[in-house]
Amino acid sequence: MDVKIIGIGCSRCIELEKRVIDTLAELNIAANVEHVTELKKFAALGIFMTPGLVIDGKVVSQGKIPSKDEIKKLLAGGK
Amino acid sequence: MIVAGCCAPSEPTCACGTKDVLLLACSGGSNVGQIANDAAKALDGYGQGSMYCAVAVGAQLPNFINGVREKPCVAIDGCPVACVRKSLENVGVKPVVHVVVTELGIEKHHAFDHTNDDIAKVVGAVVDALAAGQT
Repeated sequence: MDVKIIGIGCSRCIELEKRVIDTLAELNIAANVEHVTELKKFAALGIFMTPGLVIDGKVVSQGKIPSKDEIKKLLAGGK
Repeated sequence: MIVAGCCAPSEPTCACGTKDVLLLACSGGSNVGQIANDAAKALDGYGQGSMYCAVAVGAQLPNFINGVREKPCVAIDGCPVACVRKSLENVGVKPVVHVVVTELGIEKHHAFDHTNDDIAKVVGAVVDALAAGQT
């Protein structure tokens, strides 16, 4: 699984990254997690509000920090 | 009653940027106008500034003129006609950054089928110009 956290490094996107990593660990899912901080790349990834979350190339959340329960659903492929 | 900032910005979605810069974009009837507007929306969404009503400045509504005189302005025009920059200049404001979409290699036409890469190109140009301190 490929997971990208999108945001230039403020507390909100760092919190999102932490929740994603914690949730992956809880579910014992192996994933490549990348935090994309270069603002110029965001739009090309389909992110127009930060923080953003992209899973396997699909934008699943932007402009908010999903709860851990929401992240579990997103990781499972449901929205 | 219309007040300056009525179209202004929702709360920052990410606390990493500044909301001190006003983003004024073309939203004209061409692909490049819409790209300019989408780029401004994205920059606002990244916390890099606040979208502001370029048309209200063009109409020279007093409260909006006061608004652009109070903060640094980024003008994003679609084409060399440069309506946004001229609207600002008509009220005595020189934008700190001026980006023209067609000058980034995007051809103007009347189809609205632009891509995220087009928006990214304009966002990048604005970010680079702000970092370089363009005046």
